[in-house]
Amino acid sequence: MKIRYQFVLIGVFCLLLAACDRSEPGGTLPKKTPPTTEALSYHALVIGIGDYTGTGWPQLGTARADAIAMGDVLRTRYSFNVVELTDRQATRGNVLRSLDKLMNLTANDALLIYFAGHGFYDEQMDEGYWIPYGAERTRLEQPAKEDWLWNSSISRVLSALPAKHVLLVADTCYGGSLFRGEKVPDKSYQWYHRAMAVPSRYLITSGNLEPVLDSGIRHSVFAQEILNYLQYADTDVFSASDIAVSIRSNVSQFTGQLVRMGPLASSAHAGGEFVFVRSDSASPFPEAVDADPVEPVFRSTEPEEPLLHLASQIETYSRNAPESSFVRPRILACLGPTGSDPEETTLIRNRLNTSLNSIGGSILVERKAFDSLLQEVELGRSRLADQRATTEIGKLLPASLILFGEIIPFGEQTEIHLRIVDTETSRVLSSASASFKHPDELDGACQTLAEQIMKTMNEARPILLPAHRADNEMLEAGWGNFHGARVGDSFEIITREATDTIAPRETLFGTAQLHSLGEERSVFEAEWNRPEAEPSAKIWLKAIF
Amino acid sequence: MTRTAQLSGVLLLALSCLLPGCLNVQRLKNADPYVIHHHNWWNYYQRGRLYVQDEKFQAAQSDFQTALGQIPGARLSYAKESWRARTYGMHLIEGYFPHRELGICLFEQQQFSEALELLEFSIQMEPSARAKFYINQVHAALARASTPPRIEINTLSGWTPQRALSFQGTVEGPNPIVALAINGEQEFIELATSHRPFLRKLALKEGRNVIPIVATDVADNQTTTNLIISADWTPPEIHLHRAGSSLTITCTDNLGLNQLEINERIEYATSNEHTLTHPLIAGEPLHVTASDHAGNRITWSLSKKEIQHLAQPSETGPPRLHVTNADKTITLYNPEYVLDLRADDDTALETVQLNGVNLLTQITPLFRTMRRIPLELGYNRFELMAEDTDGNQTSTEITVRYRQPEYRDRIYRLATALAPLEGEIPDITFKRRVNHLIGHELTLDPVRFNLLADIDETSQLLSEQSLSDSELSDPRALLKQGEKLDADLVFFTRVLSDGAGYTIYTQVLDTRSGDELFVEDVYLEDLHHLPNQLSGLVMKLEQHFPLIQACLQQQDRRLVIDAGAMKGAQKGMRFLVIRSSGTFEQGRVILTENRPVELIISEVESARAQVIVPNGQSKHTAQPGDFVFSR
Repeated sequence: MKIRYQFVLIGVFCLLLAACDRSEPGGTLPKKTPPTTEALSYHALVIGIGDYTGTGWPQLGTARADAIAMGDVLRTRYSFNVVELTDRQATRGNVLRSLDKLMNLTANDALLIYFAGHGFYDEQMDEGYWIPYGAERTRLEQPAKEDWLWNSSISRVLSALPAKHVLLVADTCYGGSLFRGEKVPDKSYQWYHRAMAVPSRYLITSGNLEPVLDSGIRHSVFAQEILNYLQYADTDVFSASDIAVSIRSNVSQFTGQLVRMGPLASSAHAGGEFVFVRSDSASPFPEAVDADPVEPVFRSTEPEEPLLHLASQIETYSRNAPESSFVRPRILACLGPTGSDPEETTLIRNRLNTSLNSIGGSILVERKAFDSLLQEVELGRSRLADQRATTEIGKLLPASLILFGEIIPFGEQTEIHLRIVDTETSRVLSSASASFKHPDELDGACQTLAEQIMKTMNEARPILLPAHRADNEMLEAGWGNFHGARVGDSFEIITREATDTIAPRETLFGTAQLHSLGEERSVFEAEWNRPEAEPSAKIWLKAIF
Repeated sequence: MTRTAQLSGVLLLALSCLLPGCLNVQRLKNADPYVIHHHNWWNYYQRGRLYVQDEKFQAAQSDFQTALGQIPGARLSYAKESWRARTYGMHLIEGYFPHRELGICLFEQQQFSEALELLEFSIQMEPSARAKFYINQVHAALARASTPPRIEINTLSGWTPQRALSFQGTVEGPNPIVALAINGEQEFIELATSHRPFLRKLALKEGRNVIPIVATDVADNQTTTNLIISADWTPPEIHLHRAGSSLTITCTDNLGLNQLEINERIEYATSNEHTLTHPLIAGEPLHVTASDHAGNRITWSLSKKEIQHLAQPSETGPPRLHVTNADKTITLYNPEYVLDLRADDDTALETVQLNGVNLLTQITPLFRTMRRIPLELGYNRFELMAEDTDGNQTSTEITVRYRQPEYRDRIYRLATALAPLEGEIPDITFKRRVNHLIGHELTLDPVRFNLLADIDETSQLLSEQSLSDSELSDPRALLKQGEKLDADLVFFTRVLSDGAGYTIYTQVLDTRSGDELFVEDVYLEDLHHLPNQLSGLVMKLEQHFPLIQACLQQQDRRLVIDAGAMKGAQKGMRFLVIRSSGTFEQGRVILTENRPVELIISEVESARAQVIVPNGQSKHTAQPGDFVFSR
């Protein structure tokens, strides 16, 4: 089974478990430890290595400054006890010794470890490494791994640390085996309160093998974004995932990499989260927080295997189930027309999108910065996948149809050539051309093009919705705002036979109009041709707009 | 020896490696472009082309003549092939047409007769669009006659009950015909000839249709003939009235009522409404027939009982509508529904409505009409309502579904990949226009080829598939897997800079066998003609793939279809297999693993063709008695 299904279905299962927990407080959820936020004290170990002289690793301009700035903001704004290891101080031995010292922390402590320096990821071993000060790159023509800090070792240390919360912030790559998928619940003060009460082992990483410098700024993009958040956060209380979500788009935009975030695959992680509390905040939590929680906050910590098994079962069931009432939306990505004059291209595309939108029946999606997101797709298939990240980015809608085209100046006129391609079959469903000489002819040209394109598309990819009766006059079907539907959209009421062929036999029984628009399902007002002869077979709605 | 071989870009590339510089007609910087360092025939040919581009036709003429061995100079013994092979099958030089190029040189030097001879010889050896273009030019230069062409049509102006008119004719004149426009649409004429037959099918509108036919010869003499067709597909209507002891019969027609016949008594109409009276005799049947000028006819026979009823009406009730398929949904495979409606009432019908439109022109107790109604694809609803003078109403409805037969769906047509334009492309605009225009022509209805996304687009499709495959994707909108079509054909299009113009040719490859099926080309010198020329190119490509319908039979353990070369069948053609217990149109395409079952022609005779089951497909999926239809 593909990983994506696993994650999706694990998520579904987690929600189911959460739902079960609502009725059965005992449930399968572990610990119900009382909140102990008052007693938490915060510690940080910040490591920044930019000086790799003589080791074969390139120098890093910002790592030391990043670590120092990070220590400063944690100390001054959040009252952390900070230990800094920069450049010469950050030898392998010193880092391990510092980690060892942290074993003295207690269950009332929260620890943040920040690392900025070179990283290395061995795909074959699925193992990540931090490169400490003085560690050579190669020895005897082999990677000098004996000098490096192994993520698996660090993970063991992090698991063993008695601190209640450990947050690892790595401006470098980190091993995928440390991750585990998780859903993000809606947050409230109550959520933060309980998140602090339950142990956590959490990681935020830039995903790069080394800090990426943004030109003209003395910190790496990743570090600068975190520092900005810590400096200027507009709430007194926030969690590690709030930071990660907030900085993710900027980091992606500037560096092309996705910030990864999620809990470490550690038995010490019980589903809580690292919560930051501003040191100058008087009373961060309202009194009501102390009341018993009405909603479960944390996901199950069950091992993965049973979940995967269940997910597999769910998937098999959904495949074998009779026709689902859910209808896939018809999603159109407008990648064209393209042209040499940016101003003219933007104008034409805007007019065309307006015309396409006015016809309806499809969702138009943007594809800005699409390539940089797709760079992560391959990683997304591995266990590096961070379910929280994808949830926060907003699930993207893969386009089942793509509009391509070009704007070609020819003589005194401008030609617009468009074609719609079916993503699933790669067929060119329709093509249309129009030309104009004067700008005032553009609207008419775009409207004609849009109508022509959509007409052919409707023939090739008609909208067919399985429907059922809500009452005598009303039908309900899985077509709503999510699909680009609008009140008043018209449909034929039909029955279908021989649906295994491309031309099923259809019988018309009436018409229906979208009456009450929902997100994924809507109610349709039916007008039966012959009320006395309503169909006994399954009813379908076929769009006629 | 095929022309496709001459135009093979692959072999051209191979030779380019062997003979660097020889085939490149581009000038070398800082070098005399006309200097040749070797004296092989192809060196002279290439230099000749360069001279043509620079309009140095005399020098070019000399080089082409040398290359052809007409004057000493080139080393001809190098080529071990026969003369013909060397001349027209060289596989070596793209666009190697020495006689044509020599003919063009002579044309430019106004040696028209010699030029024509060479150009016609070139076409005889191997047709090319550029040769045809210059033959037209020569004809134009030679044209002396000022007599305009004559147009003869086999159809006379007049009436027709058809919605479409098929007609044919010829255009003849002392000068070759270079342009022919029928109803405003230009015929694609590559080679002007003095005798040009044509065949055209046009959709008509009901009423008077004026179809202009304009022929122009190479000397720009023009003739216009208008074909005037009155189309009428609505039969007359009959209204019956009881007037004391007689019956008043009124017939009307929308365009041209011709005659009425009542119990063998015939009257000719002088207008579109004609009324006559007939004695109402109980026990005597009545036969009324009305016809219009287009031949539409309606007949109404009243039985003795009905006449009795008409003479002595019983108690009044609501009107009655008599129509077949009332309150039913029927499926038709042709775009016309014939509504045969009869309405009657014991007193009189006030109105008879079809979809809200009153059909009656006068109050009448008996009404009969027959209408041929055009259908839209999908469902067509016809609501009928009759109301009598007492206010009683009756209504009924018919739903007609018009659909194309399944095998006509474009999904079954050959999947075709269109490779990006290559060759001597003058500029990027030219390339983009050619790619778009060919793609556009291929997607126009009726679609003959199922065009697939091009290479650049495919990378975007794969991006969407990757997204769908990833966890970034909304699971509610995941794309289907394994739906991608494989290309059955690939069209490679190249452009060749030919003197003052461009030859654009398309090579068609069968991806399954790897065979090159054929090549078609067009030539143009004015870029404004690009859309028209590319439309012609696609038309020529489509003509190689006629849509053939046939029956599958078994003969001597072999499967054959009853269509052969006379119907355009060719070796390698692929067919769908259709099984039907009713008509051919009702048949269903046989699929295996969601792909259509195929048969491929292995041998062609004039009236039949042997077909085989392709490798990897079960031999039992097609049976004698099945139908086949071209993919």
